[in-house]
Order: sequence, then C-alpha cells, then structure tokens
Amino acid sequence: MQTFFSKKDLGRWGSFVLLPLLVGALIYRFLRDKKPAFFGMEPAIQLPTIAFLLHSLPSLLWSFALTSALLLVWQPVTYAERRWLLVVAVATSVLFEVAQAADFMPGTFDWRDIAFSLTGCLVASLIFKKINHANHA
Amino acid sequence: MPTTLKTLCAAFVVAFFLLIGWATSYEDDYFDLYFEAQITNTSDSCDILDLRYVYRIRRDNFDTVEVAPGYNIVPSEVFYDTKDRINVRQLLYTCACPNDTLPQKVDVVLDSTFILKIELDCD
Repeated sequence: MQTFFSKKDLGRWGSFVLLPLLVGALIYRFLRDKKPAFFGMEPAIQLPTIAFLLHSLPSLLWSFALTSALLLVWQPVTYAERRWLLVVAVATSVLFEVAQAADFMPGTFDWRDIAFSLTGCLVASLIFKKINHANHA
Repeated sequence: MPTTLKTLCAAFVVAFFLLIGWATSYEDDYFDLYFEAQITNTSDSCDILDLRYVYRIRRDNFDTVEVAPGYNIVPSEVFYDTKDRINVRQLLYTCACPNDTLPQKVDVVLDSTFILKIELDCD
C-alpha cells in the first residue's frame, strides 16, 4: 500500500492523471461549442485556436492519463511489463475510435483522434521511463 | 503489491477511463432540445415546396430531414413547424414560380429563443 499512498505517488496521480483529466474537462466545458449535456449548454469562449486541436486534445489528455494511471498502479519493473501496459492503454484508446467507425458507439471516427491518443500513450510511457531511470540512477 | 491486486486495480482504471470516454462521446446528441420555425413566403407569385432541413450530427457529419413533405407554402403564408434534437444549419427549398422552378437554400442560426423566423422571397 505504501507505493499507492507515498507523497511522491500522490503527486504523480495528481500531475499525470487528475490534471490532464481536469484540463480535458475544462476544454469541453469552456472551449467547445458542442459537448455532452453534463458540461452545460453555455456558448464556448472563442479562442484563435485550430479547431481540430480542441477536438483532439482531450483524446490526447485522456490517453495520457490512462497510461499514467496504469503505470502508477502497476509500477512496472521490467521492459515486458511496461510494454504490456502500453499495449493495454493503446488498445483501450483505439477501441473507442474503432467502435465509433463500426457505429457501435456514438461519436465520429477520426484518424486525428487515433494519432493524438497514441501520442498521449507514448508521451506518458516516455515520461515514466525517464522517472524510473532517474529513480534507479 | 500482489499481482492479483494490481490486475484488479488496473481493470478498475481501464473501466473508469472507458466510462469517461463513453460519456464524452455524446457530443451533439443532446443539442438544442426543441425549436419552432416560422417560415414566411414573402414572394408575390411563387410557391415554396420541398422544404428540407440540413442539420449537423455529431462532429462533422450532416444529414437532411424533410419538412412537411408534399406541402406547398403559398405566397404570404406563414408555415409553422417544430422539431427537436436536431442541430439545424440550413433550409433547402424549391421556388415554384410561374416561369421557373429553382432549388434554393438559406443558412439558419438557432438562438437562445429557439424560435426560427425565416422569410423566403423567390421573386
């Protein structure tokens, strides 16, 4: 249980899981015209931002948070463990877009969402790899 | 931590994130629940027919739906229609004038009153 609740790990849960989810929720709430009902019906703040960034950035943040959460729960030691966790995170991320393409789920299939999701998984994996190297150095 | 507990926690994490992903997938499905259209034919001699809304569905897709199929709006008539749960963007219609029949379209924007006043002039 120590690995879950050490100060360092709580900080990582906050920085790498909760913060990205919060930023994604804020993008939905304040910057996107169309959003799920629970984010309210208020008009979005118009920023000079590229539209696809607003659409796809939450996917990146969601995948980043998912990968980080899995790595924090599992605390992988070996390369094989890390690779399996990355496979699970990538599969979960891509699953949504595949389900949307097959019309099993609401939403619209978008290659950019897949690219952003994969980037999120990869960035989280690389950050945790660096952290692990620093811890064992 | 034992592997079994790790697996359970990882499964919980995946389930939690799947729930978030699923909930945020409903982008346009809850759009403006209701609107009332007041379509006025301000032409002197043209009928308006084949009314059809173009509406956005989900992110970038568009679809159309017929409005009162087979009905002609005669000059100076106001036609009332209500629709719900569609993000309407355009109104397609056909001007049936004595000498000509032309397909037309007009962009429409819903505001917070949910009343869509459209005046169509085919002359």
